[in-house]
Amino acid sequence: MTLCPHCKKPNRDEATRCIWCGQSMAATPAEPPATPTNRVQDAAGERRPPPTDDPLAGLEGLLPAVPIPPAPRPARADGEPQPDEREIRDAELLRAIAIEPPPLEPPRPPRMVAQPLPPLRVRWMLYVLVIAAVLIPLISGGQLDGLIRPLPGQAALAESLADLVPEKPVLVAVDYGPSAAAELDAALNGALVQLEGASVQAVFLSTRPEGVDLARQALSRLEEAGTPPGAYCHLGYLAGDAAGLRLALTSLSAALGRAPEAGAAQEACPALLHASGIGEMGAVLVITDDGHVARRWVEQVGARTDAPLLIITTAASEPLLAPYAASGQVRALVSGAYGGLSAASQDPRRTLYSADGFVALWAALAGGFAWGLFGRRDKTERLKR
Amino acid sequence: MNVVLPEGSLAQTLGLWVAALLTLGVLSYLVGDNPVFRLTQYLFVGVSAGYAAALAWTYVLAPRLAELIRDPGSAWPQAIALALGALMLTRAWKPLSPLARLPLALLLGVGAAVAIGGALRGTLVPQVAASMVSVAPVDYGGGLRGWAYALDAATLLAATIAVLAAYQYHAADRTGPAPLRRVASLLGKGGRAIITIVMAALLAGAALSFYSALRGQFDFLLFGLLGGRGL
Repeated sequence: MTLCPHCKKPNRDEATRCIWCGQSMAATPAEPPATPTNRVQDAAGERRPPPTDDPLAGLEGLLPAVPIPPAPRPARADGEPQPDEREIRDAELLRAIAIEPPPLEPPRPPRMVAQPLPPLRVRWMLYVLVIAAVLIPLISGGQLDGLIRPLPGQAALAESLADLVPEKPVLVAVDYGPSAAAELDAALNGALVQLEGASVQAVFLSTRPEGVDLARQALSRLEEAGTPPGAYCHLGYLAGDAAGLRLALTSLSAALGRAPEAGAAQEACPALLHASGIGEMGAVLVITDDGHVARRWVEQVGARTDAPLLIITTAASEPLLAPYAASGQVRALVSGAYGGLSAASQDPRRTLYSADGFVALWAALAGGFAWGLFGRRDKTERLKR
Repeated sequence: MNVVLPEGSLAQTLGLWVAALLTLGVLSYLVGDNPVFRLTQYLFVGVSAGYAAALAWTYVLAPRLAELIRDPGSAWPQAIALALGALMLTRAWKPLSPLARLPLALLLGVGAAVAIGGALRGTLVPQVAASMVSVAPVDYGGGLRGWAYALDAATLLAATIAVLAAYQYHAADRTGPAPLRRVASLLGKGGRAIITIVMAALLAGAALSFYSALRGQFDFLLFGLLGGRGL
């Protein structure tokens, strides 16, 4: 810490200019040697260097420094309004400001409030807890999976898919990225199994680039499961965001630009003989990890067609879409994290997708919450002491 | 652009191992920032950009261009779209860059019009209508069930008003009579509490999603890789 040679306020060692007065930290103010003759005593009795432009410069000491009394206020004529005390005070304040403007306050350095990170051991403990929550189904073997009951959204999805007629195809929009595949794949598989059971044809497309290959993977899983190829088709990538959806509402071929692959799929897909646009579909099933994408489907498609809109989304986006489900704009809203549990529990392959893991995660989160609540309080009390 | 590789092929095995190593590279961030993590990060960004460009060519540009070449008589509107797209390239050369304003203006104008129309019809009007609910138990059939629904509706109404009041900031503190200001201030505090609860719910949902992603990667490493198949 270095003191400013001008204002004597603290500055950083490497500072070249004072953050308080703006003067250079290197230069020391040149001060004339203090002698009895070149200092003048003011009214308060302090001695200070005389102003250099004073015509009486050099004669200090010969004349006593006495305070000059204020000039008497001239008498006013009768009837002239006299200023009251407040007006006089304001006028004096204005004069003081005009004659001696208050010095500009130097910029204060921003107060950096450091957010304390948890100590390294606590962070490692959290890592271990979360990884343990992920791996716990290896030990527990999914003991809690039998307790899974469908949530209202899942029941609504099942009812909506059961009400479909084979004549009207279902549009399946695969609008999520690989990072959400672990959460949404199981729920999508469960919905596709229901569609197959209802003998409804499915038309796949994606409005997000990442979704195209995930849709292909879903189709390959259908092929592996023995679904006949005529039961579904893949239209690929639909560009244009909201405008693309509006166009596809009435004409899918116009929106897709008659892509060769889409054309081939249309020829191979009898589903599109019954529905040329999204508006003529029996239902629209959107699987997405992005709340904004889901809202786009609600605004551009759901509001303009009678086909029920069914959405499977991530647990992170579900609260954003809950108002649409509550208002009836979305017939069924399913959170992928829970929605896929029942489908995953029936999967013969061994996975870590189990209710045990979720219970362990909630336990870890509750522990972290308690640490944040009580650990922080202890720290505050220690700081107070 | 078919990436679904044949089961058990060399390409699939190689891809699985690369994916596993990249997963471990991402997880290596647990011990701090390191070159392996950075390499994985850069690979992800580069591959994503390349994939998006390839997809745009395959699904958007190439089919329309092919259609135009094959049948220019009926596909002439595609020429207008392609010409507008080509005008965007003039931004690279300053003397011609003003020409790019035309497709940009069209893009922004149409995009804004469609988005605003959709927001009004799909969000604003339906959501406002959905929040205009009766708080009279009689409208819900009376009895305990009617009271429960009425309480639910009253809570919804109060929460909506409180959240709206939370966005008044200081305006409510300086204008209007004192009792009204006190009510507005209390409502604002309640609204901020509700917003905090909603944020907490969003955070919990995000934690659940991250957990699911982590579980998926461990699934891939433990079962998918060793079993020779993905999720």
